[in-house]
Amino acid sequence: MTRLRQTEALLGSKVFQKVRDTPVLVVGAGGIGCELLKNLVLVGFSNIEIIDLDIIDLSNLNRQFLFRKPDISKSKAITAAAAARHFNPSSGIKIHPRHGNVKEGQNDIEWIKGFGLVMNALDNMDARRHVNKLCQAAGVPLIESGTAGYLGQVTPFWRDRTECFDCVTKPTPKTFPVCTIRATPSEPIHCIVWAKSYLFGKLFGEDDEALDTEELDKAQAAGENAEEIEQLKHEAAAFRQVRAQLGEEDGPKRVFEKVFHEDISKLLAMEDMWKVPGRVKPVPLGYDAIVLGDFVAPPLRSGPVAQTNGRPVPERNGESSTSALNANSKQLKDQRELTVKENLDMFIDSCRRLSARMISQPDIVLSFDKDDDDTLDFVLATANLRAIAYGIPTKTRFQVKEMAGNIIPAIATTNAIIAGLIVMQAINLLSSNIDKATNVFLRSDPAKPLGIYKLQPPNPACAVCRDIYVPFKVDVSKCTLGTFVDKVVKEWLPKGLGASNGNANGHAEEDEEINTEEVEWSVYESTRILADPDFNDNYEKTLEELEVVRGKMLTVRDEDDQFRAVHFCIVAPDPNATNTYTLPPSPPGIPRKPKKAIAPADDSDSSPPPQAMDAPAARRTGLTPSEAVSKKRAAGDDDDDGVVTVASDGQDSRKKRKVDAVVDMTGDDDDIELIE
Amino acid sequence: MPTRPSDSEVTTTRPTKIPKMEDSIDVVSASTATAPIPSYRPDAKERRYDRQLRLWASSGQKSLEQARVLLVGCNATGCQSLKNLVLPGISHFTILTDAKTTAQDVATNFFLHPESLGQNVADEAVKYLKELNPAVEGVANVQDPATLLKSEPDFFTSFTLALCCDVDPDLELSIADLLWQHSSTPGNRDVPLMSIRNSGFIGRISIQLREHCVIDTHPDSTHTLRIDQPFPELETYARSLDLDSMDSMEHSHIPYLVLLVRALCDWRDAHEGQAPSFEFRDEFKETLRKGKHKYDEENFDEAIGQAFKCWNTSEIPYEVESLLSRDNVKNITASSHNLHILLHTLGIYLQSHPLPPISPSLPDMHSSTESYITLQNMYKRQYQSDLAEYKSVLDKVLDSVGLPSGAVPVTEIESFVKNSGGVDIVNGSPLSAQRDVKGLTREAINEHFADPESENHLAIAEHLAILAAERYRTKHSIWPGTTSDTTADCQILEESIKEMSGLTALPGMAKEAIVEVVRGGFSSLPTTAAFIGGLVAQEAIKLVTDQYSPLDNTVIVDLVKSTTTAFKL
Repeated sequence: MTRLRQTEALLGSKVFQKVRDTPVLVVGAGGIGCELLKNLVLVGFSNIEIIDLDIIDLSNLNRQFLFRKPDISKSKAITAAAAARHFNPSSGIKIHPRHGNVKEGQNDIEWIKGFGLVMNALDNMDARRHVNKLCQAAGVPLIESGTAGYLGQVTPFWRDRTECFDCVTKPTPKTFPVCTIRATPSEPIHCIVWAKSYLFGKLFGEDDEALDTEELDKAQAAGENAEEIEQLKHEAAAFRQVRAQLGEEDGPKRVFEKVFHEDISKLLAMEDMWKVPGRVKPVPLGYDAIVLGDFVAPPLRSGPVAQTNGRPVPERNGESSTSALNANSKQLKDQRELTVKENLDMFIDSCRRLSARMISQPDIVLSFDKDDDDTLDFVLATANLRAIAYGIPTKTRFQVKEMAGNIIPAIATTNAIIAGLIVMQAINLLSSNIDKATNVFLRSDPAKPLGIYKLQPPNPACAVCRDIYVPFKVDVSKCTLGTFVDKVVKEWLPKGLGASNGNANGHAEEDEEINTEEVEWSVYESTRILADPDFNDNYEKTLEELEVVRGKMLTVRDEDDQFRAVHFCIVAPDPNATNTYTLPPSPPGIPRKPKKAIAPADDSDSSPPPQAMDAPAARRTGLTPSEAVSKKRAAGDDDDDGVVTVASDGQDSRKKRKVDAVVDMTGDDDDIELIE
Repeated sequence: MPTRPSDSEVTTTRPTKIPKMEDSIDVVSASTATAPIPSYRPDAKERRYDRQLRLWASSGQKSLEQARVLLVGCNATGCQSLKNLVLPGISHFTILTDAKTTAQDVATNFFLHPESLGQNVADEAVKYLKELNPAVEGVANVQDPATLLKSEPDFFTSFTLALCCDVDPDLELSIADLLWQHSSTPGNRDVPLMSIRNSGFIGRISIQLREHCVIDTHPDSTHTLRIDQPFPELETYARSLDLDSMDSMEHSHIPYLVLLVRALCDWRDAHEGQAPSFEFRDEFKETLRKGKHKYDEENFDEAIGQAFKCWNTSEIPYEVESLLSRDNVKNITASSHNLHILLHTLGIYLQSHPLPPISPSLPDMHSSTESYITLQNMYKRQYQSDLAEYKSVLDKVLDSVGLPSGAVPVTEIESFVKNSGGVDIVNGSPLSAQRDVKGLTREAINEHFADPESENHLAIAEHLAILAAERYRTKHSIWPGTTSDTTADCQILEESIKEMSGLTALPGMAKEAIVEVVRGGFSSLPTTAAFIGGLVAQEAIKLVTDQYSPLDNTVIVDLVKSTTTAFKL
């Protein structure tokens, strides 16, 4: 305790006591998580839980400083906690590490209520939204953070006091039309998406025929060429055979012949397809010709181009695959372009390695992982072979890894700065000093490294933080959906809801139409409908049978969409409970939704969608890290890709074409970005 | 208390991820041994640095791996800074201090252990910092820095960069003077110095550098697309398009860049060769709008949205032009920095060319593949031709100073030609001038300090408070805030600031700043240390890699308000 005298003096004894006493949760033990854990321990936080599902990879060691070489493949959370303890074996600090997914059922609303503060150090949108929702449901303050290269952001979210993570719609990932990916690629990214999201799954992943057919049908319904779709269906069906023979000696060759020769030949036979302006006919690849070295690659559709898909260019001189420059010995190994033969060899080799894994571990479904060399090699080789057939420039391993793995550059310095800011915001929140708490951006402008913005009030139209959450202690093996509907929805929830305290958030509707009629309800679990006034098939089933278990939510919505949704958060029943379920003493008031939805989505085609968490600030200042990121991506390119004909899968996706593969530009790295 | 899962749950591993065998090659053996790694696979070193290579590329990494960093003093902030440099892989660091580890050090510095107490703090910190990256060499030097400065000044100039953390102000100035003198000798490398102060929530970073060449500032845009002054092939192409008779597919896929060039040509033809001035932008956009055949032609919408580019002038930007008139650019020798030679060459090139060389890169745009590639190839041809001419000028220049034609690497030439708008030369000022409140420094300070409305008012007040504290320290050998009477300390600092600023009464914020600085007692708060350590390392990486504009020259960190304020003194 005496060791922290100085910190206590600076923080004030009252705040310091809160620091000592408040149980806090850190979600993520990656780049930011490691720095954050160190800071928390040093400042004097004494009751810390840290959760992460990931294991340590070599590429983490350039910044995740609690990890060492021998720790590779160990749990991040457990290793980080052990290292932090080792450096600070001082008395009274409890760090509770958990190797697991924050989305698991046991991490329910009661669990999150056990913390006075939650800090996210995550790397993906999905988990961020999940934790945000939990914190909003439980009313626990959350500090969200993210970094991408030199840029970073820290934002506190606190129910009713500030906006939440979902108050501002995040832009949707970039997507491509099915036929562009499967039949008429024109850019390297198309080939990579094809290799990663289509071919890999067909050969090694879960082979879901029904899903595939459904996707193609939808694409056709959305206006893609019917004949092309028909051809793709045949092509997909024929995969089953080559997959079955994959383990045989000539398995890889058969795959090659099918994918790079037969399928392409069949597409070529469809003359009309190649009359569309801008399309370039592919050339089927000959296996034996490549092996013998007398294969002549078709000419590139353009001069040799280093295409980067809008990412920062690793090497400014990425000019040509054939020029002498490439012999330059200072180039890194994985930044070297490969020959056709090398790509073929890598294809054969990776095919064998993957099929061996499939045979020896049939229970493990293989999926693409940028850090799994076998899968990366396969995607690299097949994407390049396809590119060669279509006269598209090939990519280096370094580039494919980034494009397929959605890699966000990550460095120690940015994480250190952001983690320092998180703790400052934590102290602001703990001292109930919400006024001092701010939304902080780290930028790459040396004249003004930090930008601070006021926290925004909740968006009245937000479907996360404006909804109602009710903890529902229930024995899911006993409680049926019928009981829930009859006893909870119809009896417990207030009737004639409009009359209850409907104007809670100040977005007043005139209450002229005080609603005395009974409202009709539907019950959902996430987007799955379980019951509505005309649908009671599930009434006899228990919640467990309906897979509505701990950690999930039963959502009650009125048929006319007039009121805020009510989410019943399933938690474990009290150990001694005799009732099937227990509800809070009194039901919540259910306010009306604002009449005119102030849609958080952007409605203008001409302006880019808000990209940061804090779109209001973005609009106000025109300065957000995400904008800087996208600008940089656009401007930093040395040689940009060819045409982009991308259908964006926005809210108006009906207008646009159905998409095949989603290129998740939002990153899937250890340090994240919120900046998505 | 949160409910906790049982321990058995803790040990379950992620099912889909299979442990990887090849990861267990260590950095040293992977980079030296002839391990049978397939030629296309990155080695362990590349894998470790993968995420940062994507930021500063292999050229930046190479510079980093040659950097030798000296840390004088050894507090939490200094060690956090070093941590952030050891992780990305500098070559070497030395910690120089004869101090012993105190209890306070152990409490705030993550890289010290309770067992470190009483030991040489440099030895202890080096031991733990080295664990972070086996490829980095770390040395503890436990001599008294002041003695060493007298006996062995070459020691200090042997580094790439020096960091001074919580160093006695006089000693710090002596080190700074030595490095400044050293770099004034022609042929000597500049050894930049970063001075770091931290008192509680407040911190200051100052940088002394004599001249720093930035080879890539990574600006948002480094070049115009020449829409205002199209090269002949581009203009001919744009004029040759028969917009009215082409089919609708083709019409809706003309790249916006071509549309803009064409619209400008048409405008000039109709206005006696004059391009539209900016006031006529709406009229100009209207002509584009009228060119649409159908309402929803995206390429036209793009052209209208990007029409502002017509007024981006392709002449050499002012910032670069001003670099050309620098003495060491105008007058070059065989020992000149490559950037000076390249800029000198650009100056000569511009005597016979109205515009700097073109860049071959094009942004994404709505277009058919065919037209895009046609366009891209035009730009590439023009770039190749400009590059060839530039190179021939360069050869003459090199010859004139007695250098062979290959003296500047091709990659450097090409990167400069593509990115001539993205270079910079920064001239810093000596630390002694930054500390003396007179001349330009006094002007800069008074400008913000006298005006309570100034955005920098509080930061300048905090800077003055730190300056006053440094003077206090020199006089009393201890820091203000560490005595029993902090009110008296504040009083002394107030008087000192009055003397420096010439003001008889201090603005309210100055008093606030003094109280906060004294309250911190010049000890490190772990969060402040983490934050400042991040900023310092970030600036250090900029200086070492010659990428991005560095901070010039002072930044005040205020973590009460989560602000940073930079200014030049």
